[in-house]
Amino acid sequence: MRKGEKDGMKSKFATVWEWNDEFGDVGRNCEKYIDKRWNENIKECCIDVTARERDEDIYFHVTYFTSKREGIGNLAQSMFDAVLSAGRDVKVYFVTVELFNSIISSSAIYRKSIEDIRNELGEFERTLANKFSNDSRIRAVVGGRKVVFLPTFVVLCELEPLSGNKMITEVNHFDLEILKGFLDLLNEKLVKKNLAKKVLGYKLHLGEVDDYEIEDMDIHDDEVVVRLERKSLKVKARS
Amino acid sequence: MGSGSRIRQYERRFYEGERVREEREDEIFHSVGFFGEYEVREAEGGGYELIRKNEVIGIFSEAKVEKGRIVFKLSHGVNLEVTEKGIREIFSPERAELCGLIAADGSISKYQEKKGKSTMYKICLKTNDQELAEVFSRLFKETYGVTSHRYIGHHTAEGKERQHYEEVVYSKKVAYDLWNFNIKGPGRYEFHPPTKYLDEEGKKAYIRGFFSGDGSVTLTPKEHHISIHSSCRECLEELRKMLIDLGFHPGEIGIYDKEPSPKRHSHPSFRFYIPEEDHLKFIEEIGSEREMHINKFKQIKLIDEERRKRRNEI
Repeated sequence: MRKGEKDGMKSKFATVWEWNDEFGDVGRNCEKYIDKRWNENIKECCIDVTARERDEDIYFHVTYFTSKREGIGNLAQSMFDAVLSAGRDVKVYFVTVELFNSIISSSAIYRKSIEDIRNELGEFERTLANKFSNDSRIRAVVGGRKVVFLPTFVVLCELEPLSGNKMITEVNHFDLEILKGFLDLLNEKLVKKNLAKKVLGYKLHLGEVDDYEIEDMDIHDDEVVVRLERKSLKVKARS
Repeated sequence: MGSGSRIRQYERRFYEGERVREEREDEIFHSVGFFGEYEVREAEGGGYELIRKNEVIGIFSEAKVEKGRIVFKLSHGVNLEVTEKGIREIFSPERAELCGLIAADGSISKYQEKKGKSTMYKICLKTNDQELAEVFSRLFKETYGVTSHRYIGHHTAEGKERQHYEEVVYSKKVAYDLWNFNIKGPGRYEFHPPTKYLDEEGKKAYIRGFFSGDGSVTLTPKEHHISIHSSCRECLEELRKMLIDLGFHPGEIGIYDKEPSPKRHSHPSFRFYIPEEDHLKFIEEIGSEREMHINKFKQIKLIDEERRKRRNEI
């Protein structure tokens, strides 16, 4: 177990599971940490599972907020099991536990419909098209084809938890249909594991238009597909 | 090989032939070639000797003569390369690929079952993929002559009971051998490509091993891409640099992180893409050990070859 406590801050944090630990150790490790660190000042506990579906290249998080001390280990293990079952080839990177002296989850309210998200994304893609359609790299290959822009984005989903304060799933991709398909499957697993009752809604998280740049282009018979990434999320290679 | 210093290992591997030389004085040798200050001679009865300044500094049973270099087989997947520039130890492609696989999905650890019990050394690969477990096992056997233990666990995925695999070798000697080359750790996701010990073939094999674990091939009706991921940014930079050395043009490293509100502690993840222009080169020169990747590579190859033709027509 790797601890990352931050003195002077109002949270206590630990990584309770990483790849190559035993799959069945999540709950036990989590309980050990909670036993040690939970006190009367703790108002909320956040359990977070970070994973990637390697087949579809989908990076995602499942986060659960609860104020109840009892059963946190079982909760963490069930979250891990649900995440692992959400795809053919899921690699879980981290399971973390963070304890707060205040309720922090109340600000996370995501209640848009998936149609709202689709429309919002469509509008954003049109704005990006205005910005990039005159780009010399695109003009060099377009040759009368239709140009399709695919920016990377994040969809957050709020679920009604069975007993805790809040549950959030967060998925990162550039194709809404693939993202939605995976998110539906993931949410279904969480409901089946009795972690959540139902989906409450969604939120689309995008960068600023000026933050996007061309990552790569695919030239089809009838269209050019341009994949856009956020500059602010790039790290410059060290010399 | 052992838990001692790398210098001792080197000495044991390299200056090991002089006594044998005395026993072989009647042997007839003919020169294979000169590489800078070194001469390599082959014995009629088999075997090679490496000579510097008229002194035999090593005798080897196997050698691979290639343009501009000769490679002698040492032990545990380490070879000795002799070129105009001098001599250096390099990893065999099998050892390089094994190291790449451990860097992605494996671990090297030491632990005590209980207080007072002896320390255990464990080299392990955890995977959902049986074929990857088998690749690990084969590479381990070829490199160290050791058979790994397989532990099978069960979990549910896509509504079906599925297996996951833990391929394990318990060996202090192997753990120290890998630690000496800084292959994995101390952080769980920290790795360092042993670039100094990799020739071109070794670099490709190392990347293939890593990609088989932490690479993705995505194929959708709209687009396809090849990407490599890690939770260690500096390590991924080293891997990216290795691809540049091999003539690839990998994209910049990008960060995945969680939504900043509500503010929580986070472990970001990193990835870079192989651009479309390099897809065919990547498929042909690097490739993957996983069936899932290989099947998608076949489709991408068809699509990209078509597109390349079209692009040339524009």
